[in-house]
Formats: sequence, structure tokens, C-alpha cells
Amino acid sequence: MPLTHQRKRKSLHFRLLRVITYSLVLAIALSGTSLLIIGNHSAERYNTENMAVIGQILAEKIAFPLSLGDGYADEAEKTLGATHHHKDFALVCLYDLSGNLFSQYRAATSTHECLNTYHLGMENHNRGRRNLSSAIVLPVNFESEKIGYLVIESLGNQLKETLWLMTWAILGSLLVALLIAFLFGSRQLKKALWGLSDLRNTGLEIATNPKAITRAKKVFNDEIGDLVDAFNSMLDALGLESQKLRTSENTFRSLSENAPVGMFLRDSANHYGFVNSTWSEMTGLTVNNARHFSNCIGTDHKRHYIEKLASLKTDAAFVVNEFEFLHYETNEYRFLQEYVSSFEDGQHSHFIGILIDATELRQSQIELEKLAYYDPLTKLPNRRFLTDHLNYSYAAAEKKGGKIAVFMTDLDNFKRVNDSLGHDAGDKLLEHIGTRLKGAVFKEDVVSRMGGDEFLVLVEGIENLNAIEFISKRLLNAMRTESAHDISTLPVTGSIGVAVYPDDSCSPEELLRHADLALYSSKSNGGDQFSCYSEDLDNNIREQIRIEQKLRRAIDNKEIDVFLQPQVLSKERRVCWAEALVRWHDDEEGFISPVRFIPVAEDTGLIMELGDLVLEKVCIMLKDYAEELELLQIEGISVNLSAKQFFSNTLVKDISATLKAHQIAPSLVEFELTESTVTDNMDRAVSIMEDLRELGCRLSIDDFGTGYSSLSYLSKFPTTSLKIDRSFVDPLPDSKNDAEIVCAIIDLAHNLGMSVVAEGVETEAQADYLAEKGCEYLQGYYFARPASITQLISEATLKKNKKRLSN
Amino acid sequence: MHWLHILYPLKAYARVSFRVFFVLLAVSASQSVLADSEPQLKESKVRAAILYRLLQASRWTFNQEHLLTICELGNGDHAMAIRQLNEAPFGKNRTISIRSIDGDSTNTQKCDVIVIGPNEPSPLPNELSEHYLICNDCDQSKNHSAVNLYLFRDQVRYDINRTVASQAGVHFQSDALRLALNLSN
Repeated sequence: MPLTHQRKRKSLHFRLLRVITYSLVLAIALSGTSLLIIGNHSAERYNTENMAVIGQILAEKIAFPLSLGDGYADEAEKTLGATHHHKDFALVCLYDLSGNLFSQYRAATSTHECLNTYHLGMENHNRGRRNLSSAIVLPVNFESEKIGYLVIESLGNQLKETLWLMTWAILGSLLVALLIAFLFGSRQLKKALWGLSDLRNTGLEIATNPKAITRAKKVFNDEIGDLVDAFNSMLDALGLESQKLRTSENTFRSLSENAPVGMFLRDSANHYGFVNSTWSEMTGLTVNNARHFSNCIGTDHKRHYIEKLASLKTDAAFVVNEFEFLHYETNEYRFLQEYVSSFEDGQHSHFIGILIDATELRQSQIELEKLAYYDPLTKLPNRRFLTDHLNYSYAAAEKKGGKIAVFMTDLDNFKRVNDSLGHDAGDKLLEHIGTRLKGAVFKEDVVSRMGGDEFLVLVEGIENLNAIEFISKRLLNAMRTESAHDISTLPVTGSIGVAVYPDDSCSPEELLRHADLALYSSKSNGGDQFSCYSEDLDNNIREQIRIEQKLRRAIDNKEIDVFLQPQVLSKERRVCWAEALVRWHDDEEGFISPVRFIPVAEDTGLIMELGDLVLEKVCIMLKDYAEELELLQIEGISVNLSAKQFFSNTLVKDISATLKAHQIAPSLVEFELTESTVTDNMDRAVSIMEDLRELGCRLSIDDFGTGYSSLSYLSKFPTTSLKIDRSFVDPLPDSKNDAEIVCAIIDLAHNLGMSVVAEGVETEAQADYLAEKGCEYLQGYYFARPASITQLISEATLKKNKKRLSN
Repeated sequence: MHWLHILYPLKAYARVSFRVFFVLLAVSASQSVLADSEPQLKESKVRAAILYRLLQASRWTFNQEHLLTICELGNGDHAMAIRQLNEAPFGKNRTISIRSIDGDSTNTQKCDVIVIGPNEPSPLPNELSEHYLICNDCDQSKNHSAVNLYLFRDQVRYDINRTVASQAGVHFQSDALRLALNLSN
């Protein structure tokens, strides 16, 4: 508002003084008027009373002359004349009783004379007619006898004079009062208002310097003093709040400056009021040039960004924006997330928010997405990708009526590479295999890594079995590692299972499952081959599953039996040891050959429980049938250990616990390990064997000659004996080669300090030959079939009785 | 009941009559004495009126409680006017009784006031000196009178002899003293 239009400032001092003045004037005027009226009335009454008193005195004085008659009229006149010093008396008329004028006094200022005769009420009449102030009539009495009337007429000059005097006095008083009020009151007012003035000055000082600790001075203990107290209290409170605010601001500033996220405050006009250092680092902008922020947003995101901000103005409490942002200084694209909310302060809108650099997060997301669909090692699509793609291909094939083939591949002996050469070598091999597999098929065919050493190749547009065979052979070739000597010196091959839609399945899941079944068949058949899914295969697999379930139940119910097959000394041909062989008699199917369920046990992992059960039963046998075994001359029992059992981390601990539980001396138990088992990981095998030897158990290498044990390791094996595989024994003694091999094995074993056990001896000739060549122990049907302990005991008893009888 | 009580109504009547008399007297006195066709009568009346007023303005010891006996002696023409004062009220409870002691000037025991006229006996009896004497145009007695009424410039005036008055036990109001033409000690 222009200054000219503002009301002119009038100080409180002036206004109070004005009020006091007006009040004073009004009071004095009213009082004065009242005084005048009262005074006038009093003066009139006084005048009248005065006149009456004077008249009374005069009447008393004049009574005697009047009583003396006309002769003393002069005397009466003289007496009346004495009233001349009463300036207010205009006329004094003395009448006798009959009303005749006896004598009079007429003031010089009077314009009238006494009437010659008196009548009642004439004084009032005269007063009105003659413009008199007042007139009184007094009886003149002499000795209680009325003898005449005294009429005194007054002009009221005295009264008027008195009134004027009063008026002037009142006016004078008013002026004096005003003067005193102005001078004294002004000073007192000023003094009284000094507190306000000080309050104002203090307020101005605080306004100039809000941090000042000045306080207003309380001078008087009155309302202004209360105001000063209140003002000071308010300042104290404000100071406290200000301090809290400063502390809060400092805290906020400290938090914002040290915050790992960008923080900003801007108004609707894109003017930034505050940005923290993190925000500046993220954007390359400062608060001074922050207006360029929106220009740096990627064009793909800008429109969405603007729309989101617009929604903030209408209904949203806050919005989240993600966008690419070109760093103002480095010109690098970053991925930012902005959380914005708005608030109003009266008329203006403001936006406050945080900015997060989500570039790395975004990259991680992308990486995760990649990881979600791609194998990080081989860079091939992974199972998830394959599943999605398979569904798509399946649908396409279904629609078009085409065929698709799924080649499920698995590396044979890959575990040996991992265990022998390390995981780095294994990873490199997988990478190599992945590349080779990709090279073995067309680009439109999908090669994916399903996990571990399993790959899957999806081929669309398969026409016939020839194509399947062709592709399978190329894939098998790709998985052979002869060309990867730098990666693996160990031979690695692959197995393939093939399933074709629509021939072998009616859903993608079934297609995969059937391919897996076919792969299992390839694996089971030794690997390095491919198998196509067939119904028989399926049936076999189902059979295996059935066997597995039954076996599990049998193990749980301890329905598995342990038979013993004695071993004899080759020279004496007497029993000295026995091998524990697992036998299973099912209630429904009868006797189930180990050939059927042992592979299932090994594939399913049930071999662990089976092995534990067998060991436990052997321990029970050794304990419960100790005497019988002694009679049978069985000194101990051999127990077969599967590869899974052998390489179990708790093998030695479990065996020790079982032996201790049944109080069996470890030397009574020998563990047979197949050559192929120990050659899988020779270093570890040696260590485990040493632990078992340390326990006190005996060790034997079973099926020796069929595996790929290294001779250097063989010397390290802490085994007590070697068992020659039956495949070498069976052709004896006719097969020269086998004979040579057997002799070599016997020599080797002896040279290494081991004894030799030949298994599968079924003829005397074999027995003789082996005994001749130094094989210490023989085992086979020639000597005894596997039988239960009770059977063995009964047979031994029968033989003994027969011998005794024969003797 | 005092016998005078019977006179109260009469007194009231007498007062009224007396007032009427004085009204008339005042009316007649308002005119110049010399202009009246009977100046002597008027003068007498004036003298009587002044006498009456002077008595009212005086204080002395009365003989009787309810009566003011004015004895007139040698008043001659003035006697009639004086006699008109008979039974006039005087004060609150008194009545004036005019008694002439002409021929018996020594019979003054009951006289409260003796008004001596121009026909005064000579020598004046000694008995009179004890009384309140008023010389009403007398000659010889004026020196022995407390009050002396006389004509001065055609106006009836009076003088007061305070010594004589004092000897007679008479005291005058100040007004009476003031209006006396002469006041002698």
C-alpha cells in the first residue's frame, strides 16, 4: 500500500494524551456546567438569601422609623440608602401597612423607581417586566406587629458577576488542568509508556538480530510490566524454539549432507532451494544450475516424468520416478530414482524429495535377469529359458503340426574331472563342451545348460529318426574331450537321451521327462551313447522306481538278509573267512536278485542305508553267532562298500560306532572296495583307507583288474588283499591271457604285500590253478554258495555228522 | 382563669381596631402636618403614635403584669390623642391604660409612664422623678424627662436623656436612640 494512502501514524502517547485531554475537557466542561448551574442556583439562592438577610436587617432597622410615621421618612430613606454598597440592589422600597410608599432607595444604575403603592405579587410582576434578577418582599415588623413592607429589587449584577467569575474560573481551571495534564501528565505518560517504548526497541533489536539475548526491562509492576514479562517469556520461548529449530536444522543439514541419497527442495517453478552434496554428485549439478535437471532426463523417460509430476499436483501424495539421466559433467548416463512429494506453504507449492542412483542396482537387475535366463559359466540359456522356449516351440509345433526333439545330454565321468583336476578345470570343461555343443547344431537350435554337467539341445523341425541319429552323433562327438587335452587329460564322454514330440509325449514336461529317462538308459548302458525314449524304457524306469520304493520299505523294515559266502584257504581248502552278500526276499515277488536292486540302490542313494543295514547285520552275526562262526572256522566277514558309502564323510565314524555298539573287534571285519570306486578319487580313497586301517579293519580291493587304478596309487593303498574279478577267473585255466593276467595280479599283490582272493571259482581246475599260482584264498560256487548263517550252520552240522558217520 | 382571658377576644378586636387607627394615623401622618386642615390634631396623633412607638422601643419595670399604665399630665390638646391609646395592646400580654393625673399629679404609684404635656404642673412633683417621664411638648419637665417630644421643622421629633432614663430605669432600643434628634447623657 502506498505510503500516501496509509493512515497517518499517531503515537500512543499522543492518543492517550488526546483521550485524557478530551476527557478532561469533557469532565471539566460537564463539571463546570454543573458547577455553573449549581453555582448559579446557589448564587441566586444566596443572592436571595443575602437579599433576605439584608432585607431582614434593613427591615429591622427601618421598622422603627417606619413606625414613627411619615415624619421620619427621611431617616428611613437614610437607612435605606445604606444599602448603596450592595451593588446588586436596584431598588429598595418601603411601604407602610396600607401599601403606600413610605421611603425608597434607588441605585444609580437603576432605571426604575418604586411604585407608589404596593400590592401582593407585584415583586414578581416587576421582576419580569423590569428584567430584574430577583425581587423580594419582606414584612416590616415592629414589636411583633407588621407595620409595613420592604420590597428589594435586585438586578442580579452580583449574580452575573459571580457567574462570570465562576465561568472564568472554570475556564481557567480547565486551561490550567489542560496545561498540567499536558505538562505533568505528558511527562508521567511518557514515563509510564517508557516500558512500551523499551519493549518496542527490544522488539526491533530482536527483529534485526534474532539471536540477540536482549530482554525488555520491567520498570513498573503494572499491566505494561505484565506485558514486558509476557514479551520476555515469549522471547525465551521463541529462543528455545529457535534453538531447537537450529539444532533440528543442523541435524537435518548434517543428515542431508551425509546422507547416501540425494535430497532436494524445489518450488513449482523448477527453482531449487536446496540440494545436498550427494544430489550434486549424482547429477553433476549444483543448486545454482539445478534448473538444467529436467533437460538431462533421457528423452524416453521425460514425458512419463512430467506426467508423474503432474499427478502430484492433483491427487498423489508422492510419486516415484525412474529415468535415465545424463550426468551434467561426465556425460555418462545414470539410472536414477526420484521420490517426490509436495507441500504447500500458503500460496506456493514446493517439492521435496530424494534422489537415488540406481545405476548399479539396475545393472544388477539386468544381470539378474540375465542370470535368470542364462548360465553365467557357459553363457548358454539356462533351464528357465529353455522351459519358456520349449513351451513356445511346443505350442508352435502343435499349431503347425511339426516335430521337435529334445536331446538331454549328460557328461560321463565329469565328477572325476572335478574331483581330480579341480572345479576350475571342471568349469573350463563345461564351457568348452557348451561351445562345442553349440557348434554341433544349427544356430536356430537352442543349446542350454540345465545344470551341473547336463545340457539340453532343442531342435525344431525334426523330420525322421535319421536326423535324430545324426544330431545325436554330432553331440556325442562334441562331448568327447580328446580335443580338450589342455583342459582335461581325463577322458570325458557324454550320454544322450532323446525324446520327440509328438511321438513320445503330449506335453513339454513329459517331453523333458522322457528325454531324461532315455538319458538314464544311456547312462545305465555305460555312457557315450544315445538312447531314444521308448515305452519299454519307460517301463524299465517305472520298474526301477517300483523296486526303489520296495527296497526302501524293505530296508526300513529290515527285511534285507545277509548271506555269507565262505572263502577258503587255497592250500588247505578250508573255510577261513566269508563275504557278506545281501539278499532280498520280497513277499510278493519272491527272491529279487541283487543285480536288480543294487543298481537301483546305488542310483537312488539307498545304498547308504543298505550298506549300514548290512554292516549292522554282519555285526549282529559276528556277535550272536560267534561260536557258530568259530565252528565254521569263519574268522571274519567281508562287507562290500559302495562308492557312495566309501566317500561318505562319516564313513569311518559310522563304522566305528556300529562296531563299538555291537562290541565287534574291527579286525573281524574286512571292507571290500571295487577298483572303480577307489580310482574315482585316489587321493581321498587312500586317506579313507588309511583311516579304516587305523580303525583296525581289513581292506580289500574287489573286482581288481576291471578298473583304472594307477599303479602308483596301488602301492599307496593300505589294503590287505586284492580280489581278482571273476571275469579273469572264469576262463581259467584254459585262457592263456587271463592266466597271465591272473598271475600278474597275484605277483603284483604279493609284491605289494597283499594277499589275493580269487572269486567266482566254480571248478576244481580253477581252484587248483589258482592255488598253484599262489592265490591264497578262493571263493566261489565250487566251495559254497552264499547262504544264511543258519543254513551254513545246518550244512556244516550235517557234513560233520556225515563225516563222523563215515568215520 | 384570669379575668383578662375573657378579654382576649376583645383584645383581638382591640388590636384590629388599634391597627385600623394606626393605619388611619399613618395615612394622616403621611401627609404634611402643616398641610392638614387640623394640624394640631394631626400633631397630637403623631405625638401619640411616636409616644406609643417609643414606649414599645423602651424597657423598664412595669408595675403590673398585664397592664401598661400611661399617666398623662397636662397634655392639653394632646391628651385626646393619648387617650386613644387606652386599651391598646402593648407587647404580647399587656394592654395600655391611659390615666390622667391632672389634678392629682402625685398619684403616680400605678403609673408606668407619665406623659407630661405643655400644661405641666410647676414645679414638677418629686414623685414624678422616679417614673419614666416623657415630655410631650412640655417645657420645664423636659430636663427631667427621659424622652422629650417636640416639633422640629414641622416634624415631631424626640430627644432622649439617657441619664434621666437610666435613673428611671429605662432603657431604649438602639433604633430609638439612633432616631433621637438629640441624645444627651
